[in-house]
Amino acid sequence: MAYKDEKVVTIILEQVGAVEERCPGYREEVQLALAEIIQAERGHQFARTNIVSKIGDLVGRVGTYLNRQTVAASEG
Amino acid sequence: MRLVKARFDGFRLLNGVEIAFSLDPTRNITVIRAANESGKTTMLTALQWCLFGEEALPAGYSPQSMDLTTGQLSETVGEVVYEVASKGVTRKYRLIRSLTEQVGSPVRSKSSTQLYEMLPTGAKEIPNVEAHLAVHMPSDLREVFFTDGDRALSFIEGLRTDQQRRVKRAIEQLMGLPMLEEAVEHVKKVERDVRAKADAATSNDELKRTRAALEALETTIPELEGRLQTTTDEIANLNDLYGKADRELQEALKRGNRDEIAGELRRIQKERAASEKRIRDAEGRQAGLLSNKAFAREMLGGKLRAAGRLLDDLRKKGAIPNKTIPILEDRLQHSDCICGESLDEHTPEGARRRRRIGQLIEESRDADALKAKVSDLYFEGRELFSAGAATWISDYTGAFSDRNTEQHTYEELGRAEAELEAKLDKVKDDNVQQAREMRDTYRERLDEKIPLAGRLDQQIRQHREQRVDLEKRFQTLSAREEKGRRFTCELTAARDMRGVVERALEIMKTREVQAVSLKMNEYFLRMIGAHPDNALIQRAEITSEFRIAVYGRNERMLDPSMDLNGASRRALTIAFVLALTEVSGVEAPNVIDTPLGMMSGFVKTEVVRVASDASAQLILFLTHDEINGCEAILDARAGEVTTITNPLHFPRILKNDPGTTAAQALQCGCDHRSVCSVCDRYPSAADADEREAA
Repeated sequence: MAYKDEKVVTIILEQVGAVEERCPGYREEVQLALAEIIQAERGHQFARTNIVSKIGDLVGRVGTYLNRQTVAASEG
Repeated sequence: MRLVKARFDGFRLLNGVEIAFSLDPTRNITVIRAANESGKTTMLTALQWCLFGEEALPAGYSPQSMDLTTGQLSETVGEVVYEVASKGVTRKYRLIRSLTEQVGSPVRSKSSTQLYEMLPTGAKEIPNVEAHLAVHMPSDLREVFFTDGDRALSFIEGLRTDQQRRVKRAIEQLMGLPMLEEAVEHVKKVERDVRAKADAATSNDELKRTRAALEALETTIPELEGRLQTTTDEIANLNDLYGKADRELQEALKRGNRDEIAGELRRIQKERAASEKRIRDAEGRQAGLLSNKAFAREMLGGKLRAAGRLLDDLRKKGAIPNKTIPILEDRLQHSDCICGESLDEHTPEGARRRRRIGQLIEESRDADALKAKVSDLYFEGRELFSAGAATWISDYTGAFSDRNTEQHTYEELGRAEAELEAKLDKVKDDNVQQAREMRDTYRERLDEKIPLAGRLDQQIRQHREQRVDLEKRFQTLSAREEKGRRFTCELTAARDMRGVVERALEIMKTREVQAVSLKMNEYFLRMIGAHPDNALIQRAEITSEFRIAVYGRNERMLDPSMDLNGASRRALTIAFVLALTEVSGVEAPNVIDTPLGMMSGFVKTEVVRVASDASAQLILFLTHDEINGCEAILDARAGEVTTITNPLHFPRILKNDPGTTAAQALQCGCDHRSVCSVCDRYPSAADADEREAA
């Protein structure tokens, strides 16, 4: 009876395709981070964690990637 | 998740009852056969208690054994073995829940649980049981997977807003929408935090103002969304109430206005009184016709004529004087005689005749009594003896007809009066007025709420657009700052990620709900045997407002709670549950108590077939009557069948003495077709009476 998140994840992955590729590999980073967010959210449902902090880290990771790539592109 | 087996001890009627569930995918039905009051619902409750704990018990429900008395210790134990498949690996678990309580104690104890993973090397105890159970069996899903024929009806019965709420909640829970909504909120919170950091890292006033405006919008938008949702619910509810009040008004108008009915009643009562008087008059006329001479002549005509002839003979023979005292005396009052001669006393002849008449009067006084009577009869009855015109019959026929006509009118008026009185009784005081006022009140409230919803919707749109502009502005301003660039990138990432989750949520709410709707329609039409080209019920759907709607011919919308029969209502709700569980992809047993009530023949068999097709594992609690007619499909699809019997049904229902008077259900291996000395029962009270008499 466990929740089946495959459907949710499938739809999220579909929608990532609509995200602007702001730098090479950006979309992939977003996709990875979202998959981890869903996993974290489901885990949070059964055992409380500091979910906002976790998501903050994931957003920060994607943001840092974007920043680095943008800076690298402007310098290069 | 699939159930492997379950055992219950000390749970009401259940003690030592052990059920094995079918794990065969081609014969995925497990049947627990039991008559009423034999432990079906108890077992459904016990199973849920074991898996979900006390929250699965109805309020005030006690699982204590039925034979225990106040002060005794009650020990209840439930054990369920189940397996969970994940990423191609199937793990088996054994869950034991136990509860010890003192009977009659107002203090409710909490059950304790133990969970073991069944490994080839032996059982391994798992700590933190409830957290594991919450993952294996989320309690949010309980009501969809464990249901009964009556409870499932709540998806289509009751207040429309309640129906919608239940349908929406079931869909959302099974699709995992609350988790996505939470994710959106958490990403928003991260966005706010990033903005705050960007704000703190800069001295740009415009950036600070933009952030403050964004923060305000982040508070305002959800508030407005909440108000819009409440207003939309209120509108749906008011529409329901308005529709109901309007129907009541139309009904009241059909029954009529109380004042009008009372006025009509008074008029009819007055007419009936007048009619009564006319009947009495007609009766008087009729009675008069039965006591007059014409009646006597009509009735005794022949006899009277014969009597007249006899009297004439007597007169001719001189037996009846042709003079009588009254006539003679009467003549003396006149100046001429009957024969025309003068009786003038001033003339000699007249005086002579008068003397002669006087003399005759004196002579007549001497006549004997008989002669006097015969004379009287002769003179007084002359009118009767003569033929006369025969008008009595036509007079009487006329009077009789008048009386009958009036009697008919009187009866008609009486019936009309009774009808009006009955009508008046049904029409409560101010019924029409009250119904009209109620309807108008709902209309007024709707007229307030509908524009309010429009305004709220408009405000939300404007605020959202404003938020998008402010976000862009914030990022532009932030990007200008050296320190702000990193935050700008984080905000961009957060906004992109939030957008993905929001779109996924929207898709889940539309596309996936549509998928459930289509599946439900397919199952429902199969269950009720409706052909799309030739059936009263054409299709069923889940509307965008999460309402289960049914359409008849010509796309006419039907109210499932009113326009569907009991069997179709149950089939519809079971179709919804099956469609939802299938589309959600959640693998779990569908456990349904008495799903086939009110069903017969085709519908009953097809509900079992469709439910078996749509379920990974189907567990049905069925009465003997529900099984009746489904034997063939159960032969083909039931992998496990067990029978539970209440021994206290002996001797009125059970044929054989079970050898115990304990309130503990007995279990036998009889399937849906067979009986044994434990479960054999009388088909009816008459059969039991016959056996008792023998």
